[in-house]
Amino acid sequence: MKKLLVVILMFMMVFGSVACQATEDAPVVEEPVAEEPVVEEPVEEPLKVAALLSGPINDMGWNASAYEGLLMLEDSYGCEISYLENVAQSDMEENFRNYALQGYDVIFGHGFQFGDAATKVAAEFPDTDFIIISSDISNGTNLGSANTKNEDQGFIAGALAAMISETGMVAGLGGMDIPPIRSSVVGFAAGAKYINPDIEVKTVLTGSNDDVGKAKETALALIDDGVDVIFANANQAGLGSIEACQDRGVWSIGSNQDQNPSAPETVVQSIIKSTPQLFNYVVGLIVDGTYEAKFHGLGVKEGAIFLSDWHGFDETFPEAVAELDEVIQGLADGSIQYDPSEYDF
Amino acid sequence: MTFNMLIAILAAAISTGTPILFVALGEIIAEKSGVQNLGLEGMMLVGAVTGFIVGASSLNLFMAILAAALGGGVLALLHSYVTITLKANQVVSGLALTIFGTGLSGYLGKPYVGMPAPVKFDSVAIPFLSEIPVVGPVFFNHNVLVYFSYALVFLLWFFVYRTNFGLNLRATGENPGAADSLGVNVFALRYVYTIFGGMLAGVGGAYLSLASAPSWVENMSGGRGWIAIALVIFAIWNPARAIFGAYLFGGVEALGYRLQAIGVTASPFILNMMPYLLTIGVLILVTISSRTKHIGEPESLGIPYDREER
Repeated sequence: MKKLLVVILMFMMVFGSVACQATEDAPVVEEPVAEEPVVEEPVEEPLKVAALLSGPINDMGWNASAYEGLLMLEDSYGCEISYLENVAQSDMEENFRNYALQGYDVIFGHGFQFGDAATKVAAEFPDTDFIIISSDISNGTNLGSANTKNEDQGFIAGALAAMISETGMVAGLGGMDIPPIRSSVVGFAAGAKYINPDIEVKTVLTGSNDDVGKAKETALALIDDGVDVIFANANQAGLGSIEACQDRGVWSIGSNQDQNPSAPETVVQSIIKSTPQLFNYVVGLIVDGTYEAKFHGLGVKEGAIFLSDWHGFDETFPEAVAELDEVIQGLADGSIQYDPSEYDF
Repeated sequence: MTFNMLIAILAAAISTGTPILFVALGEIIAEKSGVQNLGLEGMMLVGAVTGFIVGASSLNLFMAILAAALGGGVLALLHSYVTITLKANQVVSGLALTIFGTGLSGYLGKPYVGMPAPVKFDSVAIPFLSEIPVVGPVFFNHNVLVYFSYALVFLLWFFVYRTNFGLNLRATGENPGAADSLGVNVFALRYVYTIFGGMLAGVGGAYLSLASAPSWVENMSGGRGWIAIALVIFAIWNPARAIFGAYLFGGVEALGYRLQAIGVTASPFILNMMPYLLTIGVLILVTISSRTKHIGEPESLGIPYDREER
């Protein structure tokens, strides 16, 4: 009897954590209404778009951005949308196939990890477009990919940092050593050097996107060393850097979303990258008929990377604002070119 | 390396070492009573989130710390029930609680992610003491929780080695059968000390969310619960040694930040390994040097006490 109780309690503990999430985030497939064989009529049939996600849509982060992207598609192109949450690695192929069989025109895999499964399934369904977000995979026929130009995000931050630094030392602080973060920090170094070749740029990866304390201590160490502008790109752990800057009264540059509310006096600007825009842009091309199954790198020109509100700092740094606009212009029209690999660390 | 930088590293060693010190102190007491608790990581996270939520809604730091201790304590109560009353495997229950605590804290904290804490523990320089060169800025320019931890180390050391309660505690962990025959209530003591351990783990978590980086982020403990478990062994189950171990671990981490800041590329992976490497080193050293092979680990650690098997 006691043993049974033990076993039950154990199960409750382990699955309790899962259940906590599952109650709200139960995987939902919005089943399309069974289509009736309509007589051939070329009248606007809505484009059917589906997405496979690795987590729940209310994670306030990566998967939420996919959901937002799908909603944009519904709005701008009247697409019929569907998504599947919490897709495990082992179920990817199966779910790609399911959507393809259900007649979806475009199927997104939200994350590079969907690439392998999509490559396999894409070969079986030549009439369906498979698009992988945050990857550079493609097969030239029906498998393409889209990603934000993360190094451009860093470049803009670096340029701004170099403009407002007084000590001549700036730092880019990243979290986990993963491609989107590393390339953004590398871009930061490139951008800072572009504005001021003599500036000293420090680039650090803390190795964690959750460990706020680590980000803060690292930022404090940088500030102690003379850095007076820090660009942080470490998901939520970036808050630690923003806090350190606030404590010491030096400037912060945020990333990915407007981080000014976290420290209104010291977060000068946040360089936002919009993942939803990836969905919007690629499907726009498909609707126009100009889509090619290749890698699409989206930057400022495509509206995937942009500045947040200045929150009044445009009055503090009027010259920097004007100069930064030129840099962004240059990135958009291609007149600014740089080789990120030169700045890798 | 300048003198000022050295001071900064030493001060940072203390502020980064304090959360793991709290957790390790709690675990030392629990393990002294014979109950191993691998759920510390989960209890830290639950403490961090409950502390943050109560702090944010009551704007009262005292209430926040109390709530954090309560959060960790409730989880430890569950651990006690499963392992002491039901005599289940302590490792399994502890691991389950870590997973449970991680999920639970993420769920509870969802609405608070990214919000700066409205109340937090600020550094308070102690008058006079903080003006002593070197010692002052290193030891006496921290937040209240750090000062509390200084006192706690001494109190716990005194409690364990200089009082009758401490004697009973140690007896419970070494030989519960003998303790029981002398009228010590083994079950009650194990409950109390395990819950006490969980409460300190909660406080350690709240240190993260209210003092070191006042905010809540899912999984923000970043493995510190595990480091604390390593620290318990490193300290050979002695609260007084735990404080040195905690600052050593904190110092290694702090040094890592500075090295990266001055441009020495130290892989974060290597730095993350350091506490565990140090622990393994100490284990090897201590085991080799002690002839008895009994390195100070409570004899009955991890073994549920069953009167009928006495």
